[in-house]
Amino acid sequence: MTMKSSLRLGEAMNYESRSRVGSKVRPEVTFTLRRMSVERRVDLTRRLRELLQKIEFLESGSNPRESMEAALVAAEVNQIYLSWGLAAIEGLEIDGQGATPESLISAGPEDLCREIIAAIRAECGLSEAERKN
Amino acid sequence: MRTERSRKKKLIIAFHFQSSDQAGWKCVTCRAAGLERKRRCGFVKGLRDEPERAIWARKHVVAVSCPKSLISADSLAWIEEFYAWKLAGGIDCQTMSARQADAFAVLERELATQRRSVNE
Repeated sequence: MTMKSSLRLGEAMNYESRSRVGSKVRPEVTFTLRRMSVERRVDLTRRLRELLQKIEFLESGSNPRESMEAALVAAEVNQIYLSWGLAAIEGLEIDGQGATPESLISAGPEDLCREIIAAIRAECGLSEAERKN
Repeated sequence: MRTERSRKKKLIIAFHFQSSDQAGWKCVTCRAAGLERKRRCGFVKGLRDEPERAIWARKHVVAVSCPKSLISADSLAWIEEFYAWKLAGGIDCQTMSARQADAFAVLERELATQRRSVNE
């Protein structure tokens, strides 16, 4: 069996390490996500692993205080996902200033943050069940 | 020195725990059965003063508390980096930091032990 390639000899494939996504909840907004790589996966593991483990523990309890703490840790996890995965944001101003990933986290619209977090988690290859955490 | 030893121990436990069947170590089933104190879960407060005993063991490795809560993010990151390094051919040790070289040496030894015991 022979395989055909659209690349000619000597031509290199260009891999984009970032991907641009149009927002569905705020159609004027476009955001750029950093795509997963070996090094970035290691970095994400370092940043998130212990927090995700703590969420698993807290959510499996029946104590309401633990559920509340789990929600707090989950918010922290989302913040880490945003700062890790969001490279740039266009088409959005916050208080008259062009939005940045940092200003989006501190003062941006929540629905947009949620949409971007979901896109980042999908980029990480997390399943729907894992995304719920 | 003690921290260094404890870091290595955690890395070894992480390596072997990752290669084992983890089905019985899910928080939800463990807590539903009320096993978190018995298994000396790292997230349960006030267990430090209780006497240590073997909670999990595999081959020559023994954990005296729940391995899931014991494993650090750093250990898992080293394991991921180690496999990526192996995939890339496992060369170029010169550019590694001392900590990375140390972690990889530990993992290489554990991998060899694991392979030997599979062949036996």
